[in-house]
Amino acid sequence: MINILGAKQFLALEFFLILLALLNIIRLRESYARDIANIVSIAFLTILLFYNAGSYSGFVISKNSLVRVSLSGSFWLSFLFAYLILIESAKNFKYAHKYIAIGFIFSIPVFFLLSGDMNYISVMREFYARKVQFYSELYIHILLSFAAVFAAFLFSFPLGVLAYKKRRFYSKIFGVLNVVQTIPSIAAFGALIVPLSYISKHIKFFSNLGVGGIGWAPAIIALIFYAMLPIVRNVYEGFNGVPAYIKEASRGMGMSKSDIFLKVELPISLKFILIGVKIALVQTIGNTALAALIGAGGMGVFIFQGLGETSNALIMLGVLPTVFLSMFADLFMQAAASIYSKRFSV
Amino acid sequence: MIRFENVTKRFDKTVAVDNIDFEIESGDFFVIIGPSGSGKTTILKMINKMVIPSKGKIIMGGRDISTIRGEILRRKIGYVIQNIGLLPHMSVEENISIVPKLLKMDKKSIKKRVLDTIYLVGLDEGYLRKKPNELSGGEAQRVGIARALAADPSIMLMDEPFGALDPITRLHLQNEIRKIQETLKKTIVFVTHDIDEAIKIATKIAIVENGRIVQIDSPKRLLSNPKDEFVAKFLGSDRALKKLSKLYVGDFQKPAEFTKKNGAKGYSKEIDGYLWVVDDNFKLLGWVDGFSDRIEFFTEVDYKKFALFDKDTLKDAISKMIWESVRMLPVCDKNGKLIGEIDLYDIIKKT
Repeated sequence: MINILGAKQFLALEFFLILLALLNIIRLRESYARDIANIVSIAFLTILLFYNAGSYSGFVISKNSLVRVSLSGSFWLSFLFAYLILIESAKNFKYAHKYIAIGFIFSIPVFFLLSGDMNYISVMREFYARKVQFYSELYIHILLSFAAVFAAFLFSFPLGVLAYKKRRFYSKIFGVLNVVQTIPSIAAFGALIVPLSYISKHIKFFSNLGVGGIGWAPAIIALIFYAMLPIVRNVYEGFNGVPAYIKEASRGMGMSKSDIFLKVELPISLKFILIGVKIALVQTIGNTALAALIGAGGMGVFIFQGLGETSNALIMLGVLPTVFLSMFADLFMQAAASIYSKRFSV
Repeated sequence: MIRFENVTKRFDKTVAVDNIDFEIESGDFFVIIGPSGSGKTTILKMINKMVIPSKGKIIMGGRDISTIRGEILRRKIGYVIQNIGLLPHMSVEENISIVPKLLKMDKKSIKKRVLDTIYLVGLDEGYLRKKPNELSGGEAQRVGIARALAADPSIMLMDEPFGALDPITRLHLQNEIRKIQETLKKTIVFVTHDIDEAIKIATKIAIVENGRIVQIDSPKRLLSNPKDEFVAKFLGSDRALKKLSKLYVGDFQKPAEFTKKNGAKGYSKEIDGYLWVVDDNFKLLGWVDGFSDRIEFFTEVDYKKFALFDKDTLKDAISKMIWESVRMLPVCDKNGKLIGEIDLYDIIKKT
């Protein structure tokens, strides 16, 4: 438990927050100082939210140990708005500062979680009750989504390049991928059960690998298919966006086709490709939650169990890590793309 | 030397270049000019095999270029295009070193070439670490020229390189490419649709119409003897004035009539007209009307504004005559020393 915040300090903090809010209203002109003030107030708000939740749940539990304390909508809404203000304020910062600011704000909940201050909140109680399973499902979730995106990239990159280099493949490739994208993911999982069962029954090699009608195999196949469209599209758009005169100048200087591909087209389109991978990753991390339906595991296990038991806490236990994983993947890939773009001015 | 032997290029059914047969001599500043769609760029691009002729041969230095692999040939020929095409992810230095690297030159000589060429195009070392997006249009095109010169090719191809620049930058670059060509003795093949640019920089101009070469001549000869109606029209109705821009005051001036300021007083009896007034060092001070004015009350002029210099063109001379409302102007050296005079009548009669 944290005991640094007594009632007086608490009041002082709230007073300070109101001051910062006022400052925001008075200083209408956009400025660096305002952004910093905003981020400081977000930090205080986050501390207040978590401290409040933690200490209140502790207080309630101390009266009656059978009670369950959940975080309600207003907590999540406040946290959502805080996050929006954070992103809005940090967007004017330089790269490094931006990520320091975001990392700083996110270190606050992490600190509260690790300190054990939040242990009486129902989500955390569910977590402690299923600690081992939680970590193994989280691992499966990460593994499934990253493996799917990695494999999707291996297929998509050549397809994107093919669509760009040979125009007649363009409509075929995008036609197929667009149709795939319209199939509901649950339907895709279901549709794969029959053929995969058949394969695993008749081909020993695959059944030894663990391929079956349910489990990781249909999950990863469907996830790969879904992840392909954003990557193929961005690879294609990236290459297509390389100005014709740059290619002409490169050829005119005596670069061979492979030189032009590796030293001109690829570096100039890489930012687009990274953003394609980012979109695929964020989307796949979300889609992977559905993989639990066909027994592939992942955070979906808790979500569907929670739905079955109408236990919000259990649903949250599945949803929160999925959301944060997506956010992290988004920030990380965006940072990679931005840093690349700045470093190579493309 | 580059020889086109009965070269034809067809794109599907349209004939872009129709059986052309001509020669570009080494050291020429060869400008190909014509209306858009006339096939001038296609002709240029056939020289470095960016476009392969449908028929005919192109001989370069005694060798049929169809026997040379495209990439190998292109590394030996500088290439500059209107949009420049600097690689945005590479610094200026990396951009200039592209061709030397392709030719596998060693690091030390690449560095030396980069420094040589960046100064040659009027920039300096400070630019080497910049990225193309930090350059102005003129600077970028200078880098583009430096890049084309980096491997010291004997031939440079330039496809409307100054088309997208503002008039002042274009003027600077025209002067500089002319200077570079004169000092380095490169063969430059230059495509443009701007006739003034062509007349200014070319040693030879080829006029192209509908894929055929109508006339190849030096700018001066072209302006005095356009072969047909099309060429005459293309050169413009002011082609006489354009021709004047290729002629220099130095070649048309004659000895001046003058009097020294301190040497004479009163009216001049020897001369029926105007006299230039100079000081003891023959520096131009002004002029006097030999009939009506006393010499000590001559009209003072500033030689920097009033006089012509022998490097000025006849176009400048006429322009100044109209501006000053006179039919005769003095010619001075750069220190203001009177070296001759030029008469409107002589210009009209002798050109």
